[in-house]
Amino acid sequence: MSAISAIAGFWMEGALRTLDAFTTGFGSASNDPPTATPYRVIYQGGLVRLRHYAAVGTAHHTPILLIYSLIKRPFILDLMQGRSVIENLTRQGFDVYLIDWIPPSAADQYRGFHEYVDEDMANSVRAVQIHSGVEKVSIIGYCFGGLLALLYAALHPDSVKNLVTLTLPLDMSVRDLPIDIMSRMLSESGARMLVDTYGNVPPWMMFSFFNSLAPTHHMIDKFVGAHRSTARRGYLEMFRLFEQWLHSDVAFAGKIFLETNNDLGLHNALMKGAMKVGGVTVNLKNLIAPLMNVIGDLDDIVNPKSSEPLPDLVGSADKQNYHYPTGHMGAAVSSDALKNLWPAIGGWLKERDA
Amino acid sequence: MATKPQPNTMSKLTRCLVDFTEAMTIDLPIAATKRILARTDERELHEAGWKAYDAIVELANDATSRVYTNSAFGRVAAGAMEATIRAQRLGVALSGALFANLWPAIGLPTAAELSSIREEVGAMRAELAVARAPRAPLSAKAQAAIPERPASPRFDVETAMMATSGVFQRPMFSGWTMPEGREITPREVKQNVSN
Repeated sequence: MSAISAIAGFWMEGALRTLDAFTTGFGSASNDPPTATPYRVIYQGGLVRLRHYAAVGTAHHTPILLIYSLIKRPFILDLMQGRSVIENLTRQGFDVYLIDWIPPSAADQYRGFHEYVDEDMANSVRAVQIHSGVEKVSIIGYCFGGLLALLYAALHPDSVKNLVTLTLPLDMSVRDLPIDIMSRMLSESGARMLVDTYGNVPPWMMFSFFNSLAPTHHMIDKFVGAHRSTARRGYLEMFRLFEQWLHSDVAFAGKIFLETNNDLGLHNALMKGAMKVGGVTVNLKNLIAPLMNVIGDLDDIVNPKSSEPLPDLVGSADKQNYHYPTGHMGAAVSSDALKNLWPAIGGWLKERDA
Repeated sequence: MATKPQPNTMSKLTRCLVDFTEAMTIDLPIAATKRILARTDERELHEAGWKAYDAIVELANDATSRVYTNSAFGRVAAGAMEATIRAQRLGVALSGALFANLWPAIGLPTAAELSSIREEVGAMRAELAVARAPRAPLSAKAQAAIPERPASPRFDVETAMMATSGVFQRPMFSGWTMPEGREITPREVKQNVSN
């Protein structure tokens, strides 16, 4: 009986969190929890706020620029002490810069890949160059951020020292996970109508879409899991922060949504070499920097098979797929990934630091 | 630690069904009987209960995946979603046309006005957050080390401001102006603003 009342308590807490988010909005920057690692904002422009996290001890020569997805807040990368990718990298001696994407307003619905990649990311890289005094930077892109990083590295190869992509959605012809079908069910005219109606894709719609992919988990199983793990040290704090992140969806700018849905999703344009950004065709062979493509073998958000072809498409001589037995978010928050995966990424970058 | 996933010999659905049947027909009844007859502690019964729960959840997850990966479901869901968006679009257009003139007439703000006020408040919040965030000073060494590269005009302005003061501000409305664009003097302000 006590188990049922404890689970009911977690469920009620979760339901209130979701209802609050529907009432007061999802991913506003002001709703972020306190950061685990101290930082300074060194640049702001366009829809970017660029944070700098200083290396612990003597810093390696090449700084890291972290690019996170546009559809949720990036605090998942710095969730809490001991569970932070950023803390992990700074402790390995890297100066880390993080692009904190500012959620788009109604006036930003015209923003597409060109505005995000050729303007915001290019300006951020320039700011990193100036701040660090280094000409080339290593870029780590996570999920949709990996896609942005890949496009940037192919369009502006001169400023990229190394590229690490994690859980990268690339080949959209792969269709054996629920998300593969669900995310490509909107036709071009349907997507157009959605943008005409809302301007940007609203956060509540993004939230509902992702939650509907695993209804049993989000309706009951995660709360049962929280109850069953209560005794684990620090688990509940982590659970609540993770839940907060799950409710941190931000609007997806109208134009980039159309480009993602139509060009990438329906026409698989990047794989076919037909993707255009700002009128320029993206040629992945232009990417010559060393490439590490991290694939989460248990990922059910980005199909692992979708990421696999990347090394065959780029011009880099030094390139590899790195399979790791983790899920989509496990790569960022699991203690196993922080103990093994991120030191492996750091080690790979250190070998290519000079 | 880099590994390749191992191929599974039993299909996921079969495994889920086997686990579920085993938990419901063997583990749970045995544990319950033992609890009643042998008066053992509740641990074994709890374990059997959780095993049954896990099997049910696995089965439900697998069923959901099967529904979502079914192309017929995809077509129906896509049709329903597009119909909903179409209805929403029509609703927005209708209410806009109907209330655009009627609403202000009875002294109520329009949705667009509310939305613009909300955005303005949001922008002010963001500005405040930026103003409160700590900023790093730029080193002269860092400036000297990098060759110049053409960038967008807006960025050049921001970079230049960062380089000189370590901060930059966007141009902001700084005071009252006369209709012809001339800045209003403090005296004229007093004349025009009663309080």
